[in-house]
Amino acid sequence: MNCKEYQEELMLYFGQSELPPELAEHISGCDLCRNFFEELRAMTVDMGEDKFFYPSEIEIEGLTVRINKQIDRVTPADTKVVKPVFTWYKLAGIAASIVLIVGMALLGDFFNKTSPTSTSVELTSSLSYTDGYTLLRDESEYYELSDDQFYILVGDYTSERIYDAAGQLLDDLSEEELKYLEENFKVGDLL
Amino acid sequence: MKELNRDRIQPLVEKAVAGDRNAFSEIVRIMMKPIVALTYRMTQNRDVAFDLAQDTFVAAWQNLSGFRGEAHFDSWLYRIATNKTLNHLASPKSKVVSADDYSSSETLDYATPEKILMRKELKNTVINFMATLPVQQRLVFDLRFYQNLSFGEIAEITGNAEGTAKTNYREAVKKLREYMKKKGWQA
Repeated sequence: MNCKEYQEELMLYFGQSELPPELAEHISGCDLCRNFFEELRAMTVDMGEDKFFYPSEIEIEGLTVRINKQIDRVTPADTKVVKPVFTWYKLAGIAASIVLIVGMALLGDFFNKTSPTSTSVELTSSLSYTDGYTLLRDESEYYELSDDQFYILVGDYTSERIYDAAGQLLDDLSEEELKYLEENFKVGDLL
Repeated sequence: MKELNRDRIQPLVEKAVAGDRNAFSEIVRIMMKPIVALTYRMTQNRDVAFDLAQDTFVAAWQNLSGFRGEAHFDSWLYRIATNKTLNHLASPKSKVVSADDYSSSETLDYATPEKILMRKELKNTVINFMATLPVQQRLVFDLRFYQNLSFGEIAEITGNAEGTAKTNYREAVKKLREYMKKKGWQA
């Protein structure tokens, strides 16, 4: 850079307290540019400082009041306002939902216990006999069976064993004993 | 002063953005002085300067959510003040408002009559010189000389390129030298 270019650059630092090293080095060895810079620095004093133009404390007070009043009047359109996450009506809504869900669950359980299709019924099948009827307790419901139906159902696997045992018993009797039994008893009563 | 203000403002800004009015009022108190000084030197009228400062802070409050923290908060305020001031200077009503004598109660700070007179002369010199500059040069000169902002910050505030800000400042300094020489000023 020549001296004119240095001076152009020095003008950018008018009013600044520090110079870049390159400019500081140049003016330390160049009388022309150093004089130019000293002239700028002297003018700086005559331009004063920012604080020379500050309002007084009384004026600041007055303006602050004016600003606050106007801010009170205007709506802070995009101002973020911290709001509570849960309001009373939100909490009430949540509580009502919980009560509703629990209530429905309890009612459902009640109806399931009385319903034949409910899975709460004992899953194991079993048989029981009452007053001439056998109740077949299946996975999901009870079936009422008459005696005849019951014997048909269980006879398949019991009859063979009964007749085998009766046959064996008759084989062990002598002819006289057998004749006595036939004359005095019915064979079906013995079995 | 610039760095001092920034250190004081930073924690207040976070609170103000969250809706804290007291924090914003404190920011107003800190930044009012440089904002009023800027608007006054730009308009050469004290009442107008106060009105523009008031508009600046109210607009800042209304648009706090628009401040994303990418720039310094004071730069953001300067940008609002600058826009308000340039709009005012471009309006017809600014032509009918004459420059006034800025004689505030700061006389308390300068006890002797000589100092008061010197300060008054200096301020008149500055105000009269600023009035000779085109608006853009006046604005760049003010932001650089009095607010100590970098050319990068000035470019952001004015919305111009950094090179344009440098050119404006250089031209303003050249005009200042000429102005002072015409007034018989000697180094």
